Amino acid sequence: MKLNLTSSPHLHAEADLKRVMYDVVIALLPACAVSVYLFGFFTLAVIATASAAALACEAGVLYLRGRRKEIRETVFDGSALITGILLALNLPPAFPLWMTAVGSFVAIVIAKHLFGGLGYNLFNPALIARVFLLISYPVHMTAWVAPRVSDSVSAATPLGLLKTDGLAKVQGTWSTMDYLLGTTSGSLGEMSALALLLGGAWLLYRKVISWQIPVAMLGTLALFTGIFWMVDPQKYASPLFHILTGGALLGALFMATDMVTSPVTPKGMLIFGAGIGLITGLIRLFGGFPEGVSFAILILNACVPFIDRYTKTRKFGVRGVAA
Amino acid sequence: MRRFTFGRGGVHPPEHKEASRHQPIVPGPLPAEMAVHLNQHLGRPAKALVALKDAVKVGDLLAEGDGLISAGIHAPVSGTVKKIERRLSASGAYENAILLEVDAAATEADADRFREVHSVELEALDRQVLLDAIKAAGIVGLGGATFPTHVKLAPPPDMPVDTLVLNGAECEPFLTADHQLLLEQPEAVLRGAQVFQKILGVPAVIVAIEANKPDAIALLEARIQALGLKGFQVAILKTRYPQGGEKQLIQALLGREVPSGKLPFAVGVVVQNIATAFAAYEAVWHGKPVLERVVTVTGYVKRPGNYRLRLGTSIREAIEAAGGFVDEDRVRAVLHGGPMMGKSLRDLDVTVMKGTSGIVVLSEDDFRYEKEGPCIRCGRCIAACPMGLMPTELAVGAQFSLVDRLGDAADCMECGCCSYVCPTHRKLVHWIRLGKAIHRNHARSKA
Repeated sequence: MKLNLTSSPHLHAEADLKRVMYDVVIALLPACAVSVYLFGFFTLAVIATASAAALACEAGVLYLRGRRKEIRETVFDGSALITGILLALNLPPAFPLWMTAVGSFVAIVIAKHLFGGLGYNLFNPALIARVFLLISYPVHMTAWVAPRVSDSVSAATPLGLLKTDGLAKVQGTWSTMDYLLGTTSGSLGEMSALALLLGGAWLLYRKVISWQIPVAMLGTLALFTGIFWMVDPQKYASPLFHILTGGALLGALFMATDMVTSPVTPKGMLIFGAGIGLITGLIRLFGGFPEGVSFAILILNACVPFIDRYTKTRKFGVRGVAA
Repeated sequence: MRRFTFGRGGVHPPEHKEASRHQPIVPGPLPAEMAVHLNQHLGRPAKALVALKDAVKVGDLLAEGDGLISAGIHAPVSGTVKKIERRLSASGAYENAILLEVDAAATEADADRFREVHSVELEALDRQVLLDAIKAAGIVGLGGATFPTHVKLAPPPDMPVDTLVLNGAECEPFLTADHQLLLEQPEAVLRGAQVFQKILGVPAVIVAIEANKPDAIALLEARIQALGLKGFQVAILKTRYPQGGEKQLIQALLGREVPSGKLPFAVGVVVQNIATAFAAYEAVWHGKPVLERVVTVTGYVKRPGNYRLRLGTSIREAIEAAGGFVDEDRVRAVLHGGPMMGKSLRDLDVTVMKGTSGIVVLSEDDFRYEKEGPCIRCGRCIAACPMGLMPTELAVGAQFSLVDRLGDAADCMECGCCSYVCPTHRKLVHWIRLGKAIHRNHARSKA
């Protein structure tokens, strides 16, 4: 008989890192399926390339960092896989595979491991890679195609069209139902609002994410865009349009909620989400780019240590003491 | 009916109480030799009054309380003092203990005097007489914290107490000793509570029991009515860990928050455990000091149950009393206390003490040791902390000796909720314990 000496508690909840991570993977499946349905099997190659490259980079970095013994366990803990899939979902449908692999390299090696690896990265790795690709390959990163057509026909995204041609043109092209189902145009993962909401509901049900960040982000975005919409509904799109199009839902449910790069307290999460919503609205309405979710999340990522510092929880017994 | 619970944090681990629930309390063994430790309570260890080869009788005072916060230790058996030595105790440290050679026949005969019931007119007794009886019996908080009861029953004059809470939450998984004691000795427990009520002079007594013990709730309600106890009421608590934490319990029942760093006196409350109330009954009605206690011996043993063990019985003998291990080769850990706050033992020759509420044996099926991963900042530990602390930050503070970040560590009661929920198996409680020591040492060196 060997008696183990371990520190209390001696029981542990079932949820561990792997379960948390694979819950996120499961939650991303509806969005992946919709993209394959809309854009054909090449998107599957994009998702597979991004994921495989992310896993390979993870293994390579662990090897170089002298953590060889844990390669097998860590590579398949799900976190690198999520980064890969999320990156793919942030790319246009016909994105070259080698560029996709470059994106995975940037995400895993530069944005994640150069900061210390899992748990230590300040910025969302998939978003760093997306912005890197946007700056390096601007043409490919904005080559949108229309869904469900055999030859790739170029088509603007709803937010892009709004910026270039104005609201009337957008309203003449798509309806709210198109945004819900995804029959518009855009990155792989931002097509169908319904598929994203389904995944988000799963994450909330499994308690992987909490409501604060998505609600604060989408609420602030709706509030901000709603004010302008009420002032001039001919010129500005409705808050519902802003929530359902572009990367708003993908960002609110899957990117901003990344645990490592978001605040740790409920109050902090509300501030963080509200900041992202506000900056997204500012960029969409007044910025040079049609879409601003990625930039907004990255900017707020940088604010997380600051937010954490000023949103500490209230300790038991320091206020509200009865007589 | 309303179910009371505390404001925030907490977890609900699997209860694992089925094995020993409703098992009648069975007397434990009478070993040939017993090691009685002098540090069975919070505060200064007791001072030994006996010398080598002294003959002692059951109930004799072996060691007296030393100073304000301390408690006396009595002989659990009749026999001879064989040795006084430093021995490994269940606390994990080497502490002074009196080794007794047991005289079985004399023990049996000498224990007779504690079996008769004195006629007690509680109303007629002076509160000081009762308080002295509690102190003389060496009673300490038997829930596990082992704070000397006579100190807990003497609030400072500027802090009037209006409510006594009898803590029957027993929120630790596996443990059923308090539950069974309530079922078998409801009147004795209530009489003990009356003693506390009289000493404190409080009008209200709340018997708080978790909803997973409906039979105990019904029984206590019936007995309170039958006995016509004034000011007594039963409160049903939601089954949730750590419902039995003193501060959580007070907040759940009365909505009062004990200020950080203060005792429940500060909000006019005294909390006493079920077993402590029973000990008070035995002290007043039987003149019996604390010689034994009910211990749940459960988990991977053949006869999980509730055993009345003499203080000084070894853990090995206690496990044998419960039928022994199911399969010794598959045993991975033996816990002193429950699985959330108990300590794992490295040596089964350590002995049962006043604070021993349970002995839990974990087999390879239940025991998990997971390697600690990095913090992924998920915030679950913060959401789970019933004290409103930020465990992950305190742990980092401890790991890197950042003294100025450890100011809140002292508020941690080590309930284990944070480590329980951590998806990367960080040993948060362990780090915070270290953090407390770092902070304490730093404060001391500055003073």
